[in-house]
Amino acid sequence: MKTFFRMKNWTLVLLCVSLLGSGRVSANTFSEEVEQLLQQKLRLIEAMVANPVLVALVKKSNRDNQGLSLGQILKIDKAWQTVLGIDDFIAGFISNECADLLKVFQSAYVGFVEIFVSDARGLIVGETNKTSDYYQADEDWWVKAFNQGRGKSYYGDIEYDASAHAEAIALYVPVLDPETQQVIGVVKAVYDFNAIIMEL
Amino acid sequence: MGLRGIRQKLAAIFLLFSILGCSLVFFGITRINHVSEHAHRVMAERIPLSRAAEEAILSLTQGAATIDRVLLIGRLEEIEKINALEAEFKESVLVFSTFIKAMIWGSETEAFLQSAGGRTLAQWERMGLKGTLVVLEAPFDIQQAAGKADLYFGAFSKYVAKAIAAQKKILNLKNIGAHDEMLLEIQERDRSIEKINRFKVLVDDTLQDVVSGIYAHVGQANEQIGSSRKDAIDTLIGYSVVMFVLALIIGYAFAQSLSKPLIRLKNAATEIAKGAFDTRVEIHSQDELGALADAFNLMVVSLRKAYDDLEKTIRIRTSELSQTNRQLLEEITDREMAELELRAMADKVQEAKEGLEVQVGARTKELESFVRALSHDLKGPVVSLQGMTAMFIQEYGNRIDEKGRHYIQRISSNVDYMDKFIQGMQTLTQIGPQGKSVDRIEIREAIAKVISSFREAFAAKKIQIFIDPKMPLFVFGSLYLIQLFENLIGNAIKFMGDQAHPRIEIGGTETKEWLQFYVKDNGMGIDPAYHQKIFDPFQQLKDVGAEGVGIGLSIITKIIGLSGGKGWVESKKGEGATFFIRIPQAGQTAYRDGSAPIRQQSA
Repeated sequence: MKTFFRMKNWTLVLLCVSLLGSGRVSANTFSEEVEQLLQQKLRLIEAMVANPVLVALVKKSNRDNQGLSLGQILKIDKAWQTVLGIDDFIAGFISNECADLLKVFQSAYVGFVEIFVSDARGLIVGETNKTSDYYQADEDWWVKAFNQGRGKSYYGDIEYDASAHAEAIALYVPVLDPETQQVIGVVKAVYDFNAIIMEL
Repeated sequence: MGLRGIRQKLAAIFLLFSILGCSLVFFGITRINHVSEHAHRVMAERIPLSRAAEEAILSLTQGAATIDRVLLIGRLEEIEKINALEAEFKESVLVFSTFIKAMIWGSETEAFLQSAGGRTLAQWERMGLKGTLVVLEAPFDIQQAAGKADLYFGAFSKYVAKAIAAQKKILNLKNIGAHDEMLLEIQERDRSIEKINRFKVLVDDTLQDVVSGIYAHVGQANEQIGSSRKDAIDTLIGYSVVMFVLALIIGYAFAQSLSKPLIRLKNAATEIAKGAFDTRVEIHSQDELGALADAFNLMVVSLRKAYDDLEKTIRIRTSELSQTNRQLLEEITDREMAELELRAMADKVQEAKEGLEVQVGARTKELESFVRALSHDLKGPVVSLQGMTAMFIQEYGNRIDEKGRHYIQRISSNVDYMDKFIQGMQTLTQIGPQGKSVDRIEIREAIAKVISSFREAFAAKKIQIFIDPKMPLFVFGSLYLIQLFENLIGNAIKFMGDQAHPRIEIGGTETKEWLQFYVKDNGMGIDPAYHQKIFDPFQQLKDVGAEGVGIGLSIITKIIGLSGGKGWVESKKGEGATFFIRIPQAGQTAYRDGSAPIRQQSA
């Protein structure tokens, strides 16, 4: 109660506002210029994930992780989240072949502050920065991009990118098996606001 | 008074709590109103757009090289601060951008700090916004709208910068006369302005969404606040009313539960005081009042028993007293009757006594007159007989035989006895009240004279005499006092017997009431059977063969009797005798007036 009265009234009101607005807008619409730009970025990423090497790496990850139970996956995920900084296991995903491909792409197209690839079970295959968790299939964006195996490219909400220390927009692209057209993984790429502004 | 006191105290407690409760309610309502009204006011100040970007764009189209007016959203005082900062920060588009973020994502939260980053945080702090906007998390749609506004504003600011740069180039090219290049730059500037206008519209629209969103949420918040306020006040009032009623009911019930038993006790005590000992208090509670009622009832039972016992005792005692009273009345009556009879008898006795005294006095006087006349009449013949006897013995003593002489001697001795007897009677009858002119003598002088007269007798019998030096001083008629001690000392000498160490002691003492003298000897002593008789006239102890006519102690008795005194003897036969005389102190006054002895106090 004491704290309640100490809080500034303005704060109180905005706090109420924030609590009231708990609904999440699912579809974000931008101006035509921004929409075009983001679509371009999606095509760029789709081109990148079509790289056979990357596809092969994703497939390999799927094979490697095939025997993991959900419990084992969650255990690894929990261990991942508790690590402060980067341990050997995490470093293996930041410096593997997949990560190298991503970094090449990142250096070629300025503005992508973070890119990572997950396999069909949502487990990290490679990444440019340390992600917050190992298991991605429990995220809404992943489920939406996986789209029950059919795949769907889209861009998401404006969010703050901690690794880039900037506002950004996330773009989600499924990795398709060129032979079966089945989704074998999902890529998430975070595009910096400032880069968008510069391109507008 | 006690019960009233308890009621008053309970009422005072209830009133106090009511006042406190009402104060709390009043304070709560006031506070809720204050908070919610202040919240409304703050929101009203917060939301309106204070500036329009139109001016900035217009200034650009008109060829301005800088922008000094921006769109601001904020509280008036914050705007004032930013206005002040504008003078220093001409590139206030950044301020605008930062401010939007600040407003939407908050200030000191981790989310905002992360979103703002080092780049914007410094500016944000310079704007003086730190600590003023604390939002944990803005609603998602507002966050997204604000993000878009930020994005568009980024583009807007980029083209503003481009327009300004082109503007500067145009001015330079104009100065150097590079017309073609200037036209190209003008086209570039116009494209930028076109973009500016485009993004300005996007910014405006997006900000409109932001503001609308904020309004909507604030409206909801206000409604919520209003509703909450109303609910809070209603709840508070309802709660207070319920509590008040509960307090009233509980307080009343408590007061009743406390005062009712006490009133019952008081009423019962009043009834008992009136004598209704069958009164009982019916309190069945298990608390102290119940215990008090039980104790009270027990007390009443005990009181009843004690009262009955007391009443019974009083009845018995009253009956006894009545009987005793009757007896006493009877006794008093009897005694009064007896007293009356006694008084009557006493009066008769007194009358008889007085009559007798008169008769005795008259007879005594007659007797004394007769004795005086008799002794006077006998004196002459006796004296004549003595003379004649003496003459007969002298003239015819040698001529008569022994037998004749014996007869004549017996006649002579009997005549002498008769003479002494007559003298004694004369002495006895002559004793009476003395006049003021009588010679007086102090007791020691009188004793000295008596001792002197018995000097030869003392010497003959070798009697030692002791006189107590502490003997009180006493003056009396010379004749009587000497006569008194002559008789006492003479008797002592007379009845000394064959004592080997004869001794006579004379002494005396006095008190406030009387003077007492004694004459003590260690002679033959007197049988107690004669102690009283020897004080009668002409009484003598036959077995001791004493000389005299037996009138000495009678004379003493008469002399002492003149002053109201008395005489007695303490003696046993063979152990000596002590003769006492006691004269009242009061008797001296009467004597001084004519009949009582005169006493002089020793110095």
